[in-house]
Amino acid sequence: MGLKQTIGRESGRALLLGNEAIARGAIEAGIAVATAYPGTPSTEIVESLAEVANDLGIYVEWSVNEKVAFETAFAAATAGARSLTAMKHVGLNVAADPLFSSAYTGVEEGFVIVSADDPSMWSSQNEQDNRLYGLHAYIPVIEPTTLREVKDLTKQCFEFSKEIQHPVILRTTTRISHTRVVVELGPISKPIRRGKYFKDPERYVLVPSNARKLRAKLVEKWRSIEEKLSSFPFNAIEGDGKVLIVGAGISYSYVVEALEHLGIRDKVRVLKLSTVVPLPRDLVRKALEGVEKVLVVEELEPVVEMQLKSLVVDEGMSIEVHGKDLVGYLYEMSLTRAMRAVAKFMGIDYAEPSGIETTLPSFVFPRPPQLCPGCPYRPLYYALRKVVDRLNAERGVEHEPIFCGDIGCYTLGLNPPFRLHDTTIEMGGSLGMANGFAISVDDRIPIAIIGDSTFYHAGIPPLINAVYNSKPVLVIVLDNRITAMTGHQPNPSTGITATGREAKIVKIEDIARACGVEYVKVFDPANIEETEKILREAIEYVEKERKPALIVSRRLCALQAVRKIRSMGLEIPRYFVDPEKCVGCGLCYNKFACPAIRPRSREDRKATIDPELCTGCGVCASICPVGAIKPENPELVEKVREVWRG
Amino acid sequence: MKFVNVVITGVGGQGLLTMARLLAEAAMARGFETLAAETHGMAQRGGSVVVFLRIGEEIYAPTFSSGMAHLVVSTELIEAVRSVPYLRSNGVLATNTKVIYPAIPGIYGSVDENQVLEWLRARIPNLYTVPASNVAESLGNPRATNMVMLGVASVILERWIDTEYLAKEVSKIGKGRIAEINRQAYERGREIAESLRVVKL
Repeated sequence: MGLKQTIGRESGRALLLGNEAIARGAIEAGIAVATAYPGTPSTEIVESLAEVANDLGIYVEWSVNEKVAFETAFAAATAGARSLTAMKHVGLNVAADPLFSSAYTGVEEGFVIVSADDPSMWSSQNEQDNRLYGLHAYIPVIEPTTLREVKDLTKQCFEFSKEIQHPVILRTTTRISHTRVVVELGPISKPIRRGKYFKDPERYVLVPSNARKLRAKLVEKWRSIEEKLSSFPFNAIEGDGKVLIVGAGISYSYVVEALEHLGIRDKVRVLKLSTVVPLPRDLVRKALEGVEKVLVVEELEPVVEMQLKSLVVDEGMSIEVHGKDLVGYLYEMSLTRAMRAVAKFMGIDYAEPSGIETTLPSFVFPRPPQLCPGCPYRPLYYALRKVVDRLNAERGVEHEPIFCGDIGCYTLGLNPPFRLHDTTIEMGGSLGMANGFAISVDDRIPIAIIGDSTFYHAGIPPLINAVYNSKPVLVIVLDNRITAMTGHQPNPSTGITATGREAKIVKIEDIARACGVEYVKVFDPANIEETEKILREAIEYVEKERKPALIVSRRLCALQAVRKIRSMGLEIPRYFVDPEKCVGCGLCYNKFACPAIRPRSREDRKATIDPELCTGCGVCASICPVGAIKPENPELVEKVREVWRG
Repeated sequence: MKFVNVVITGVGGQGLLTMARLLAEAAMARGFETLAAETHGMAQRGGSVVVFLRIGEEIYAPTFSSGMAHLVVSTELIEAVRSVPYLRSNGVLATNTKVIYPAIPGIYGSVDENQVLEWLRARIPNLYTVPASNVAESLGNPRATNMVMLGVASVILERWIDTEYLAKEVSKIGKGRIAEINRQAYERGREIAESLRVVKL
């Protein structure tokens, strides 16, 4: 059940993903504008709003990056439209510039910034704690403490933002974003928008003379925000005792169950804390009355612990404060971690839950994520590895290009058998790093490998930089015409918008030419022969001319292609291996490494294709050196060929 | 028992999120609280996927730790083994018998399926092995493997879910022939579970 199914309903219960509950809360609050750049674990918030945008009259867009998304929603809120922008934790780094300024200006309607953090780094390059942004930028940070309150808390965030005329960060973590929960639906509100802009340059033009005045006001405002948060309805002091446990954000849910498991729920006082920045001092003072010691349970950084310690010092209290010393810094909260910390804090015995078996047998092989069967990156990587291996054989492996990767499924080129990636740092980092290697490494050229969506997001300024400063950089744009890793959101290469309207395609090759790149080519990577030829030529061009070149490897994401083929009422073509012809060389399953192809058995190395996994892309048929792989129905192959090409 | 903890596992792309969502909705239909913590993003690209499903009267934490699962349901044999540490001492394991190998050169065929089954049998009294992939393939859609295992899980969890609601929702997945195969796969899974006289949690 998604938002689409619940949208007409004003009451009743629905099973929603945490992110969908946020979206539903925003709708019940009267949201008018929602923007985002997709990023796990934030994506489904705006994705589900997009599904219902047309029905409800909400403006929803996939922006090209988080900075633009932020600015769009922020501007709307200064013009009286209730707005939301959502991004993953590292996305807020991209939007940090307007974030800090937005605290100085404030807003006129409710403006909620959803920061979806990813403790344990399930799908991220770092584990940053964005509650710290709130402290740094003077923006209140509010977190759900249970899954079932997510929707109503979101609604409250909008009301609070409107009340204080200030942006609010709603911070979630992966287990809130991606957990399904039963939600009680409430009435849907009409989008709140004014449609008019009132000139107020003293507030919105941040020249130094204005900014100095606004800075002084901001510090004052921060104190009043802190006071107001003490009566925020989602905070609570529960139970009683001489010890206090603070459950901050989702850690509260783990604390409740840990106390239950340990049988001491009635022996301690618990502070359920949803407003983590700034610390609501009056409420915390009340929670600390008559308490001898405190344990703060929170994920990642000691954000609440630091503020609480500072309060204890300011008030001259003599209370023992524990937190990270017992809970630890790394990764997401778990029940055993909460139980361990609470048991130690309370000085009680605790035995880990005993299971059937704690160690895995040696036959359990690793299963890292891999490129899907039919993925258009596979033929490109196969050809690139082949071309580079050949060049290495001619002139030595020490001259192998430096492969600068980026953020997307294509990072998996890191793994065998392709072993390409040397670096993957952040969005757009492939081109940025390539700019640096181009002027600091003499005998190897950098090759930037970047996807379509990432190119639009952060690849264009470093491309201009490479042209302007004349850098020998080869850029390979993997254009699968969709933002794939986050679950297939449209982008400027797709031809449609978030809400399904037809859109102009912003062609990557046109951008490259307009930026002054002289060598630009576009090809279908499934045509292996042509791909190898272009790759070799482009590498030689960059090495010889010492100028940037950009090539676009264009072919649909396999999951999209399969979906399209099925929606056309066609079946995906089935391929089979002719055992008479197959010589068992293993090229298809070892060098091309398609997950749908494997040897027949440990002894018989001839290939076989798994029908559960094959997507019928047919590339294996063209790389087989003896022509042993064939389609069952060649006519069907012809019919689907153009779909794959987009 | 006030709640039940279930791990739903398998290989990314096998339809595990659909399975978990349907079970959670069926639990909701029965009037329980439920949480299903999913794995999104990169892990879905053919990697191991673990969904934590919790059903009960009062549930707070979205995940649980090792040694706390009443039931593990797996759509792939090696992933079933990988999730054994989640099982409580008297936990139940239901798994597809198919091994899916990752496309890492050299791994194919490294596992002796009989050895795996022996390892499981030696440890888990309530073990149910189901040739779910074969069943799905014989029905005409190998991708209906998840529906066979959903059928099995629906019998083990019948005290926690509304099975009538579940049957109705299963028939809404996909269109035409695909939908019909899904429904049949689910029913076959239920028949297999009944014939194995599975434990009902």
